[in-house]
Amino acid sequence: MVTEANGRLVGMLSMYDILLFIRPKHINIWGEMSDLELSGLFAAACRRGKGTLVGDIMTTDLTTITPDTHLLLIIDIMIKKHVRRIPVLEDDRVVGIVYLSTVFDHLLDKLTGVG
Amino acid sequence: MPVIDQRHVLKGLTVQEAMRRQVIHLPQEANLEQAIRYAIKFKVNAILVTDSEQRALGVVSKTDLMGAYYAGLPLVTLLAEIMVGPILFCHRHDSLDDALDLMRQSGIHRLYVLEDVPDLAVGVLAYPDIVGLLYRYCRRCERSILRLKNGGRQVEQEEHFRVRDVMTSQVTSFPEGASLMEVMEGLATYRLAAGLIKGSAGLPSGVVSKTDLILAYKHGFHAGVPAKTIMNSPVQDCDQDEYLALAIQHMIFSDIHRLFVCKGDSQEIVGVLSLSDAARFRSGTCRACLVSRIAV
Repeated sequence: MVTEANGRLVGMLSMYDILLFIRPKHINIWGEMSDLELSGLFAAACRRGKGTLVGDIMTTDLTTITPDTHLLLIIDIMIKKHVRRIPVLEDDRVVGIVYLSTVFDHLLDKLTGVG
Repeated sequence: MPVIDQRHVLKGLTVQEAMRRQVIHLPQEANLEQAIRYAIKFKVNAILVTDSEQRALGVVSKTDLMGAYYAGLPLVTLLAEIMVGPILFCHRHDSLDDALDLMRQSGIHRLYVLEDVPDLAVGVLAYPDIVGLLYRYCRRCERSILRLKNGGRQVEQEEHFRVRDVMTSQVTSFPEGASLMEVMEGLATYRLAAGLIKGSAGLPSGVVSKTDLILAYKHGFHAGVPAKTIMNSPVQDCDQDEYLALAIQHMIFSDIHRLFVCKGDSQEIVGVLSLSDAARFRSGTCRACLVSRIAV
Protein backbone atom coordinates (compact mmCIF):
# COMPACT_ATOMS: atom_id res chain seq x y z
CA MET A 1 0.00 0.00 0.00
CA VAL A 2 1.27 3.47 -0.87
CA THR A 3 0.44 6.20 1.62
CA GLU A 4 1.18 9.89 2.08
CA ALA A 5 2.96 11.21 5.17
CA ASN A 6 -0.39 11.74 6.90
CA GLY A 7 -1.30 8.08 6.39
CA ARG A 8 -3.81 8.68 3.59
CA LEU A 9 -3.90 5.81 1.09
CA VAL A 10 -3.00 7.04 -2.42
CA GLY A 11 -2.34 3.79 -4.30
CA MET A 12 -1.17 0.21 -4.32
CA LEU A 13 1.84 -1.37 -5.94
CA SER A 14 1.52 -5.01 -6.90
CA MET A 15 3.94 -7.59 -8.28
CA TYR A 16 2.04 -7.31 -11.56
CA ASP A 17 2.62 -3.53 -11.67
CA ILE A 18 6.36 -4.08 -11.28
CA LEU A 19 6.51 -6.91 -13.83
CA LEU A 20 4.60 -4.76 -16.32
CA PHE A 21 7.16 -2.04 -15.93
CA ILE A 22 10.16 -4.34 -16.17
CA ARG A 23 8.85 -5.91 -19.39
CA PRO A 24 10.82 -4.29 -22.25
CA LYS A 25 8.82 -1.99 -24.48
CA HIS A 26 10.16 -3.31 -27.76
CA ILE A 27 9.95 -7.03 -26.99
CA ASN A 28 7.50 -7.47 -29.89
CA ILE A 29 10.34 -6.66 -32.30
CA TRP A 30 13.41 -8.21 -30.73
CA GLY A 31 11.45 -11.17 -29.39
CA GLU A 32 11.63 -12.46 -32.96
CA MET A 33 15.41 -12.01 -33.13
CA SER A 34 16.39 -15.39 -31.78
CA ASP A 35 19.68 -15.14 -33.66
CA LEU A 36 21.03 -12.38 -31.40
CA GLU A 37 23.10 -12.95 -28.26
CA LEU A 38 21.03 -11.58 -25.37
CA SER A 39 22.52 -13.07 -22.20
CA GLY A 40 22.40 -10.63 -19.29
CA LEU A 41 19.25 -8.97 -20.57
CA PHE A 42 17.16 -9.77 -17.49
CA ALA A 43 19.75 -8.17 -15.20
CA ALA A 44 19.80 -5.11 -17.46
CA ALA A 45 16.00 -4.83 -17.27
CA CYS A 46 16.17 -4.99 -13.46
CA ARG A 47 18.84 -2.27 -13.32
CA ARG A 48 16.69 0.02 -15.47
CA GLY A 49 13.80 -0.27 -13.06
CA LYS A 50 15.78 0.82 -9.99
CA GLY A 51 15.33 4.60 -10.38
CA THR A 52 11.60 4.45 -11.04
CA LEU A 53 9.27 6.21 -8.64
CA VAL A 54 6.52 4.12 -7.04
CA GLY A 55 4.05 6.93 -7.77
CA ASP A 56 4.65 6.62 -11.51
CA ILE A 57 3.55 3.00 -11.81
CA MET A 58 1.26 2.34 -8.82
CA THR A 59 -2.43 1.60 -9.25
CA THR A 60 -4.64 4.41 -7.99
CA ASP A 61 -8.15 3.28 -8.90
CA LEU A 62 -8.63 1.39 -5.66
CA THR A 63 -11.53 -0.42 -4.11
CA THR A 64 -11.55 -0.17 -0.33
CA ILE A 65 -13.67 -1.57 2.47
CA THR A 66 -14.31 -0.70 6.10
CA PRO A 67 -13.84 -2.97 9.14
CA ASP A 68 -17.59 -3.72 9.19
CA THR A 69 -17.93 -4.73 5.50
CA HIS A 70 -19.68 -8.09 5.29
CA LEU A 71 -17.46 -11.03 4.35
CA LEU A 72 -19.78 -12.06 1.48
CA LEU A 73 -19.58 -8.55 0.06
CA ILE A 74 -15.77 -8.77 0.22
CA ILE A 75 -15.93 -12.06 -1.72
CA ASP A 76 -18.22 -10.40 -4.29
CA ILE A 77 -15.78 -7.48 -4.76
CA MET A 78 -12.82 -9.83 -5.18
CA ILE A 79 -14.65 -11.86 -7.84
CA LYS A 80 -16.09 -8.94 -9.77
CA LYS A 81 -12.98 -6.80 -9.79
CA HIS A 82 -10.40 -9.60 -10.05
CA VAL A 83 -8.51 -8.33 -7.00
CA ARG A 84 -6.69 -10.48 -4.48
CA ARG A 85 -6.29 -7.90 -1.74
CA ILE A 86 -8.44 -5.02 -0.48
CA PRO A 87 -7.29 -2.26 1.89
CA VAL A 88 -9.44 -1.64 4.96
CA LEU A 89 -10.01 2.05 5.78
CA GLU A 90 -11.45 3.78 8.80
CA ASP A 91 -11.85 7.57 8.67
CA ASP A 92 -9.68 7.61 5.51
CA ARG A 93 -6.82 5.87 7.32
CA VAL A 94 -5.50 2.40 6.59
CA VAL A 95 -6.28 0.01 9.42
CA GLY A 96 -5.64 -3.28 7.63
CA ILE A 97 -5.82 -5.35 4.48
CA VAL A 98 -7.87 -8.42 3.53
CA TYR A 99 -6.19 -11.04 1.32
CA LEU A 100 -8.02 -13.53 -0.86
CA SER A 101 -6.05 -16.33 0.83
CA THR A 102 -7.17 -15.16 4.28
CA VAL A 103 -10.81 -15.17 3.19
CA PHE A 104 -10.39 -18.64 1.69
CA ASP A 105 -8.65 -20.00 4.81
CA HIS A 106 -11.51 -18.62 6.91
CA LEU A 107 -14.00 -20.28 4.58
CA LEU A 108 -12.15 -23.60 4.86
CA ASP A 109 -12.13 -23.36 8.66
CA LYS A 110 -15.89 -22.81 8.63
CA LEU A 111 -16.50 -25.67 6.20
CA THR A 112 -14.38 -28.10 8.19
CA GLY A 113 -15.74 -26.97 11.53
CA VAL A 114 -12.39 -25.75 12.86
CA GLY A 115 -13.33 -22.06 13.17
CA MET B 1 10.95 -16.87 -29.77
CA PRO B 2 9.99 -20.34 -30.99
CA VAL B 3 8.31 -20.36 -34.38
CA ILE B 4 5.32 -22.65 -34.35
CA ASP B 5 3.77 -22.05 -37.75
CA GLN B 6 4.92 -23.14 -41.16
CA ARG B 7 4.13 -19.99 -43.11
CA HIS B 8 7.00 -18.58 -45.15
CA VAL B 9 5.61 -15.42 -46.72
CA LEU B 10 3.74 -12.40 -45.41
CA LYS B 11 1.12 -12.39 -48.15
CA GLY B 12 -2.31 -13.41 -46.91
CA LEU B 13 -1.76 -12.58 -43.25
CA THR B 14 -4.76 -11.20 -41.39
CA VAL B 15 -4.98 -8.61 -38.65
CA GLN B 16 -5.59 -11.19 -35.94
CA GLU B 17 -2.19 -12.76 -36.60
CA ALA B 18 -0.41 -9.49 -35.83
CA MET B 19 -2.62 -7.75 -33.27
CA ARG B 20 -2.17 -7.52 -29.53
CA ARG B 21 -5.11 -8.60 -27.46
CA GLN B 22 -4.36 -6.31 -24.52
CA VAL B 23 -6.13 -2.99 -25.08
CA ILE B 24 -4.99 -0.35 -22.61
CA HIS B 25 -8.01 1.81 -21.87
CA LEU B 26 -9.32 4.29 -19.33
CA PRO B 27 -12.81 5.68 -18.74
CA GLN B 28 -13.56 9.16 -20.05
CA GLU B 29 -13.81 10.38 -16.44
CA ALA B 30 -10.13 9.50 -15.83
CA ASN B 31 -7.73 12.43 -15.79
CA LEU B 32 -4.44 13.28 -17.51
CA GLU B 33 -2.35 12.17 -14.53
CA GLN B 34 -3.86 8.68 -14.75
CA ALA B 35 -3.28 8.57 -18.50
CA ILE B 36 0.40 9.47 -18.05
CA ARG B 37 0.80 6.76 -15.42
CA TYR B 38 -0.82 4.21 -17.74
CA ALA B 39 1.41 5.26 -20.65
CA ILE B 40 4.49 4.78 -18.43
CA LYS B 41 3.40 1.58 -16.73
CA PHE B 42 2.09 -0.24 -19.80
CA LYS B 43 4.74 1.31 -22.10
CA VAL B 44 2.20 2.31 -24.72
CA ASN B 45 2.03 5.38 -26.94
CA ALA B 46 -1.75 5.74 -26.77
CA ILE B 47 -4.66 4.95 -24.48
CA LEU B 48 -8.16 4.18 -25.63
CA VAL B 49 -10.86 6.22 -23.88
CA THR B 50 -14.06 4.29 -23.19
CA ASP B 51 -17.55 4.76 -21.77
CA SER B 52 -19.05 2.83 -18.88
CA GLU B 53 -19.72 -0.17 -21.15
CA GLN B 54 -16.13 -0.10 -22.43
CA ARG B 55 -17.17 1.17 -25.87
CA ALA B 56 -14.45 3.19 -27.57
CA LEU B 57 -14.98 6.95 -27.58
CA GLY B 58 -11.59 8.38 -28.48
CA VAL B 59 -7.82 8.07 -28.13
CA VAL B 60 -5.30 9.99 -26.03
CA SER B 61 -1.73 9.61 -27.26
CA LYS B 62 1.57 10.72 -25.75
CA THR B 63 1.49 13.51 -28.34
CA ASP B 64 -1.91 14.64 -27.00
CA LEU B 65 -0.58 14.51 -23.42
CA MET B 66 2.44 16.56 -24.50
CA GLY B 67 0.00 19.01 -26.13
CA ALA B 68 -1.91 19.31 -22.87
CA TYR B 69 1.38 20.11 -21.09
CA TYR B 70 2.17 22.71 -23.74
CA ALA B 71 -1.28 24.26 -23.35
CA GLY B 72 -0.88 24.42 -19.58
CA LEU B 73 -3.89 22.23 -18.78
CA PRO B 74 -4.09 21.02 -15.18
CA LEU B 75 -3.37 17.33 -14.59
CA VAL B 76 -6.90 16.84 -13.28
CA THR B 77 -8.34 17.63 -16.72
CA LEU B 78 -10.61 14.79 -17.86
CA LEU B 79 -9.58 12.62 -20.80
CA ALA B 80 -12.96 13.36 -22.40
CA GLU B 81 -11.77 16.95 -22.86
CA ILE B 82 -8.65 16.16 -24.87
CA MET B 83 -9.36 12.79 -26.50
CA VAL B 84 -9.12 12.62 -30.26
CA GLY B 85 -11.57 10.94 -32.60
CA PRO B 86 -12.94 9.39 -34.65
CA ILE B 87 -11.05 6.23 -33.83
CA LEU B 88 -9.80 4.25 -36.79
CA PHE B 89 -10.76 0.60 -36.62
CA CYS B 90 -10.06 -2.53 -38.57
CA HIS B 91 -11.52 -6.02 -38.16
CA ARG B 92 -9.62 -9.09 -37.04
CA HIS B 93 -10.26 -10.90 -40.32
CA ASP B 94 -9.16 -7.96 -42.51
CA SER B 95 -6.00 -8.54 -44.48
CA LEU B 96 -2.87 -6.94 -43.11
CA ASP B 97 -2.47 -5.24 -46.50
CA ASP B 98 -5.78 -3.41 -46.10
CA ALA B 99 -5.04 -2.43 -42.50
CA LEU B 100 -1.64 -1.04 -43.47
CA ASP B 101 -3.23 0.90 -46.34
CA LEU B 102 -5.55 2.54 -43.84
CA MET B 103 -2.58 3.37 -41.60
CA ARG B 104 -0.70 4.90 -44.54
CA GLN B 105 -3.65 6.95 -45.73
CA SER B 106 -4.28 8.27 -42.23
CA GLY B 107 -0.63 8.76 -41.26
CA ILE B 108 -1.00 6.79 -38.03
CA HIS B 109 0.87 3.91 -36.41
CA ARG B 110 -1.97 1.98 -34.80
CA LEU B 111 -5.48 0.76 -35.45
CA TYR B 112 -7.94 -0.65 -32.95
CA VAL B 113 -9.48 -3.99 -33.79
CA LEU B 114 -13.22 -4.64 -33.65
CA GLU B 115 -15.05 -7.92 -33.44
CA ASP B 116 -18.83 -8.15 -33.65
CA VAL B 117 -19.97 -5.65 -31.05
CA PRO B 118 -19.86 -2.08 -32.42
CA ASP B 119 -17.19 0.16 -30.84
CA LEU B 120 -15.88 -2.60 -28.58
CA ALA B 121 -12.14 -2.90 -29.22
CA VAL B 122 -10.73 -6.42 -28.83
CA GLY B 123 -7.17 -5.67 -29.90
CA VAL B 124 -4.64 -3.21 -31.23
CA LEU B 125 -2.65 -3.45 -34.42
CA ALA B 126 0.57 -1.47 -34.06
CA TYR B 127 3.44 -0.81 -36.42
CA PRO B 128 6.16 -2.48 -34.26
CA ASP B 129 4.14 -5.71 -34.08
CA ILE B 130 4.14 -5.87 -37.86
CA VAL B 131 7.90 -5.28 -37.95
CA GLY B 132 8.28 -8.26 -35.62
CA LEU B 133 6.25 -10.44 -37.99
CA LEU B 134 8.26 -9.21 -40.94
CA TYR B 135 11.44 -10.32 -39.21
CA ARG B 136 9.98 -13.76 -38.52
CA TYR B 137 8.65 -14.47 -41.99
CA CYS B 138 11.07 -12.67 -44.30
CA ARG B 139 14.15 -14.24 -42.75
CA ARG B 140 13.00 -17.74 -43.60
CA CYS B 141 11.48 -16.85 -46.96
CA GLU B 142 13.32 -18.35 -49.91
CA ARG B 143 13.07 -14.96 -51.65
CA SER B 144 14.97 -13.19 -48.86
CA ILE B 145 17.50 -10.86 -50.45
CA LEU B 146 20.05 -12.15 -47.96
CA ARG B 147 19.76 -15.64 -49.43
CA LEU B 148 19.69 -14.45 -53.03
CA LYS B 149 22.78 -12.29 -52.65
CA ASN B 150 24.74 -14.96 -50.94
CA GLY B 151 23.53 -18.15 -52.47
CA GLY B 152 22.11 -19.23 -49.14
CA ARG B 153 24.87 -18.03 -46.80
CA GLN B 154 22.54 -15.69 -44.97
CA VAL B 155 24.44 -15.45 -41.70
CA GLU B 156 27.69 -14.24 -43.24
CA GLN B 157 25.95 -11.44 -45.10
CA GLU B 158 23.91 -10.07 -42.22
CA GLU B 159 26.82 -10.05 -39.80
CA HIS B 160 28.53 -7.52 -42.05
CA PHE B 161 25.75 -4.93 -42.12
CA ARG B 162 26.87 -1.62 -40.70
CA VAL B 163 24.86 1.08 -38.97
CA ARG B 164 25.56 3.53 -41.80
CA ASP B 165 23.64 1.21 -44.19
CA VAL B 166 20.38 1.76 -42.30
CA MET B 167 20.56 5.05 -40.39
CA THR B 168 18.58 8.19 -41.20
CA SER B 169 20.82 11.20 -41.69
CA GLN B 170 18.40 13.86 -40.51
CA VAL B 171 18.87 14.79 -36.84
CA THR B 172 16.89 17.46 -35.01
CA SER B 173 18.65 19.00 -32.02
CA PHE B 174 17.97 21.63 -29.41
CA PRO B 175 20.36 23.66 -27.23
CA GLU B 176 20.53 22.72 -23.54
CA GLY B 177 19.02 26.09 -22.68
CA ALA B 178 15.95 25.61 -24.88
CA SER B 179 12.80 25.48 -22.80
CA LEU B 180 10.61 22.40 -22.66
CA MET B 181 8.06 24.49 -24.57
CA GLU B 182 10.54 24.91 -27.42
CA VAL B 183 11.41 21.21 -27.40
CA MET B 184 7.71 20.32 -27.54
CA GLU B 185 7.20 22.70 -30.47
CA GLY B 186 10.12 21.06 -32.31
CA LEU B 187 8.96 17.49 -31.67
CA ALA B 188 5.42 18.35 -32.80
CA THR B 189 6.61 20.18 -35.92
CA TYR B 190 8.87 17.39 -37.12
CA ARG B 191 6.69 14.54 -35.77
CA LEU B 192 9.54 13.18 -33.67
CA ALA B 193 9.42 11.00 -30.57
CA ALA B 194 12.66 12.46 -29.16
CA GLY B 195 15.17 15.23 -29.77
CA LEU B 196 18.91 15.49 -29.27
CA ILE B 197 20.12 18.12 -26.79
CA LYS B 198 23.44 19.84 -27.41
CA GLY B 199 25.66 21.63 -24.91
CA SER B 200 27.27 25.05 -25.28
CA ALA B 201 30.17 23.62 -27.30
CA GLY B 202 27.70 22.07 -29.75
CA LEU B 203 28.43 18.58 -28.48
CA PRO B 204 25.57 16.16 -27.71
CA SER B 205 24.73 16.15 -24.01
CA GLY B 206 21.39 14.39 -23.70
CA VAL B 207 18.05 13.35 -25.17
CA VAL B 208 14.51 14.47 -24.37
CA SER B 209 11.68 12.19 -25.47
CA LYS B 210 7.91 12.55 -25.32
CA THR B 211 7.98 10.11 -22.40
CA ASP B 212 10.41 12.41 -20.53
CA LEU B 213 8.14 15.37 -21.25
CA ILE B 214 4.94 13.76 -19.99
CA LEU B 215 6.79 12.56 -16.87
CA ALA B 216 8.02 16.15 -16.32
CA TYR B 217 4.35 17.22 -16.65
CA LYS B 218 3.30 14.68 -14.04
CA HIS B 219 6.14 15.66 -11.68
CA GLY B 220 5.13 19.32 -11.83
CA PHE B 221 8.02 20.81 -13.82
CA HIS B 222 7.18 24.20 -15.32
CA ALA B 223 7.24 23.99 -19.12
CA GLY B 224 9.60 26.98 -19.19
CA VAL B 225 12.52 25.14 -17.54
CA PRO B 226 15.53 24.37 -19.77
CA ALA B 227 15.74 21.00 -21.52
CA LYS B 228 18.85 20.01 -19.57
CA THR B 229 16.70 19.85 -16.41
CA ILE B 230 14.97 16.68 -17.55
CA MET B 231 17.15 15.26 -20.35
CA ASN B 232 18.50 11.72 -20.29
CA SER B 233 22.26 11.78 -20.23
CA PRO B 234 24.62 10.56 -21.61
CA VAL B 235 23.32 10.19 -25.15
CA GLN B 236 22.89 6.56 -26.17
CA ASP B 237 24.91 6.41 -29.35
CA CYS B 238 26.94 4.18 -31.63
CA ASP B 239 29.49 4.66 -34.38
CA GLN B 240 28.29 4.74 -37.98
CA ASP B 241 30.74 1.94 -38.77
CA GLU B 242 29.56 -0.30 -35.93
CA TYR B 243 28.01 -3.65 -36.88
CA LEU B 244 24.23 -3.42 -37.08
CA ALA B 245 23.80 -6.48 -34.83
CA LEU B 246 25.76 -4.76 -32.04
CA ALA B 247 23.71 -1.59 -32.38
CA ILE B 248 20.49 -3.62 -32.17
CA GLN B 249 21.82 -5.34 -29.03
CA HIS B 250 22.59 -1.92 -27.56
CA MET B 251 18.98 -0.80 -28.13
CA ILE B 252 17.56 -4.03 -26.71
CA PHE B 253 19.66 -3.83 -23.53
CA SER B 254 18.77 -0.16 -23.04
CA ASP B 255 15.08 -0.72 -23.97
CA ILE B 256 15.17 2.19 -26.40
CA HIS B 257 13.88 2.50 -29.94
CA ARG B 258 16.60 4.75 -31.34
CA LEU B 259 20.32 5.29 -31.17
CA PHE B 260 22.04 8.45 -32.25
CA VAL B 261 24.87 7.75 -34.65
CA CYS B 262 28.24 9.45 -34.34
CA LYS B 263 31.20 9.67 -36.65
CA GLY B 264 34.44 8.28 -35.31
CA ASP B 265 35.78 9.90 -32.13
CA SER B 266 34.52 13.35 -33.06
CA GLN B 267 31.25 13.02 -31.08
CA GLU B 268 29.57 14.61 -34.08
CA ILE B 269 26.08 13.13 -34.46
CA VAL B 270 25.47 12.26 -38.09
CA GLY B 271 22.28 10.22 -37.96
CA VAL B 272 19.66 8.22 -36.08
CA LEU B 273 19.09 4.47 -36.15
CA SER B 274 15.65 3.13 -35.24
CA LEU B 275 15.04 -0.42 -34.01
CA SER B 276 12.19 -0.83 -36.52
CA ASP B 277 14.38 0.16 -39.47
CA ALA B 278 17.24 -2.02 -38.23
CA ALA B 279 14.94 -5.04 -37.80
CA ARG B 280 13.32 -4.49 -41.19
CA PHE B 281 16.71 -4.23 -42.88
CA ARG B 282 18.13 -7.25 -41.11
CA SER B 283 15.06 -9.31 -41.99
CA GLY B 284 16.24 -9.44 -45.61
CA THR B 285 12.78 -8.57 -46.89
CA CYS B 286 12.50 -8.59 -50.68
CA ARG B 287 9.50 -6.20 -50.46
CA ALA B 288 7.48 -8.40 -52.81
CA CYS B 289 4.70 -8.85 -50.24
CA LEU B 290 2.79 -5.58 -49.81
CA VAL B 291 3.00 -5.82 -46.02
CA SER B 292 6.78 -5.67 -46.10
CA ARG B 293 6.66 -2.19 -47.62
CA ILE B 294 5.50 -0.72 -44.35
CA ALA B 295 6.27 2.94 -44.05
CA VAL B 296 3.78 5.15 -42.27
